[in-house]
Amino acid sequence: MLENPIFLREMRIRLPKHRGARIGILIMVSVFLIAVYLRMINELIQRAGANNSDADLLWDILVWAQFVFVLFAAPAYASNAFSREKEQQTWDLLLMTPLTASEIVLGKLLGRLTVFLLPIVIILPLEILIALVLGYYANGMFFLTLFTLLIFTFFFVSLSLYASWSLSRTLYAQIVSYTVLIGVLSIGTALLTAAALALSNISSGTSSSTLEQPWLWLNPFYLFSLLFEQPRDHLYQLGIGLLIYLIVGLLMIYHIIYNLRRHRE
Amino acid sequence: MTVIVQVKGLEKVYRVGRQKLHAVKGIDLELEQGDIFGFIGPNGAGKTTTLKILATLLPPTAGTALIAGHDVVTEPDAVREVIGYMPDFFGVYDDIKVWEYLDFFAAAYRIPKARRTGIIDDVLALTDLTDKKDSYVESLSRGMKQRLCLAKTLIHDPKVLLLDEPASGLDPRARIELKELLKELQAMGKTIIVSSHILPEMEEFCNKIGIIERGEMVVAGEVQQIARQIRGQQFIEITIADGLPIAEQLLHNMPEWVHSVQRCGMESANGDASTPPPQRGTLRIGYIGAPEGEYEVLTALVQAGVKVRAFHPVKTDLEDVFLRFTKGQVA
Repeated sequence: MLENPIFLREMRIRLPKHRGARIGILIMVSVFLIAVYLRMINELIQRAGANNSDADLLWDILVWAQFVFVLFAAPAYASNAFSREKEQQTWDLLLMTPLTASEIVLGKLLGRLTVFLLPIVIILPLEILIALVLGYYANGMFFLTLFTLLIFTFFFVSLSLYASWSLSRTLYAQIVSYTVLIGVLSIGTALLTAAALALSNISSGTSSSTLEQPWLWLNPFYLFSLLFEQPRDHLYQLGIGLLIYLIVGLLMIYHIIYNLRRHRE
Repeated sequence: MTVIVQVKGLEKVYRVGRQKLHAVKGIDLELEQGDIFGFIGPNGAGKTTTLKILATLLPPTAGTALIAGHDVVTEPDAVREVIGYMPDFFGVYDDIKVWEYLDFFAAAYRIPKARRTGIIDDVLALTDLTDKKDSYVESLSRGMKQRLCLAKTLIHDPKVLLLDEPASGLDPRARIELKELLKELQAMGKTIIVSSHILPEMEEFCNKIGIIERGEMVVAGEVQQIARQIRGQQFIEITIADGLPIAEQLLHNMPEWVHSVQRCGMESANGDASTPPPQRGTLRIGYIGAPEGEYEVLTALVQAGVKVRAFHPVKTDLEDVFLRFTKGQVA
């Protein structure tokens, strides 16, 4: 994949233009992170064993911030993958090259994914430290959280790519991506759950549990919140939800590759 | 010569609602290696559709098109290896430098990394963009971007170039530069299909033309052959240093070869009997014989004692050809 020209071009475009600027940003980020890490290590070592509530809070904030960042940034950033090529009339030039459909689509996907994974990787050392303090390695929470973030990132980016493939305009692709992610999956499923609960309560006269509503299992916020639930009795719902998201994401990518291959043949 | 482009009965039909739109209707074309084919037609005539079919970007509804022996429908990958396509409207990737842009396409064409730098330098030199190697693509002028796109088209050394309106939107200087570049490519043995509306410029470097209207190729072949087809005759200009009246009389007596005789580039006889007829001047004759018969006419003049200073066929203006064959209708 490191030889994939689409992936390399995506990286080239997304990084700062001048080498000096790149080095400068790298130095600044490194100095900042080292300072933050040193401070955090000091704090965490002092508090470890006595009171973990601060570390717990920091863990929650960091992980939620990453999730919300990916959710809101993916449509803005990945919805132009194909539509921009069509808008700036470079699509035909790309199709004329011997690049295969898989190379084009996977190059776009990995180019976008890498950009979202960079913030996760930068914050990762801090999360590792916190996970050490909180004992999240022993119970697998660290890896489950990381895995959940990766699956959600993959799905959000895949959906945005699919919208960009299906629609000729980046603006429309962004609108559709946000509508599906925020409007349908985040708000829509919550409203459906509320409506289903209300109907159920009216018909049976008894209150039923929110967790029994399958619509909610598609809600990314709900699924992600299960990671923080105590006790962790509903992680199976997270597993089912993530599996659905993974399969749908893979199907969307496969559909783009299949259609592009047919288009070129 | 090797036939490198062979198109037979090419058709493209679009469905617009319940109606069928025939964008291309049974086009036939045969080009040899080194030909420069001018594809001429009004807007919407079907030029771009035909070029896109040849570039494997559109499937034809019927007919076949072979490029270097490869079918554009059944062997699109092999066709893409041997063609370079420059669309009429194209974009360039912003935020990257000229060499990065070319490097991307070189990588996409599977050119090994070790060879890329040399090839990029070569195409930049050919398109006169060496000075702009480290410039950002968005900073280039329209003409430079056009040349950059051509450089990209040449990066994998294709045998056949498909250039759709390469001169559109260019200023006169950029057009001249592009024309020179196409001449260079011709000298390199490339087969070029170029569509354009700038007919006088095409006339200078195209050895064959095809005129398309409403999706139909109304005429195709060598420029002068087509010109002869229009008029049924070839005009020849004869500059005479001495013996103009004898020449006129002699030419009038050659009805099997000469259809008409006209004086040009001088004042004709004013009917005044006291004024002696001029002995020198230029005659334009309408020649209707076979091409090899032109020599017979010249020999007859010389043998009659006429001092001939110049004898040459008049090239027919491509615009005449275009106007004669088209009615301004679209597909």
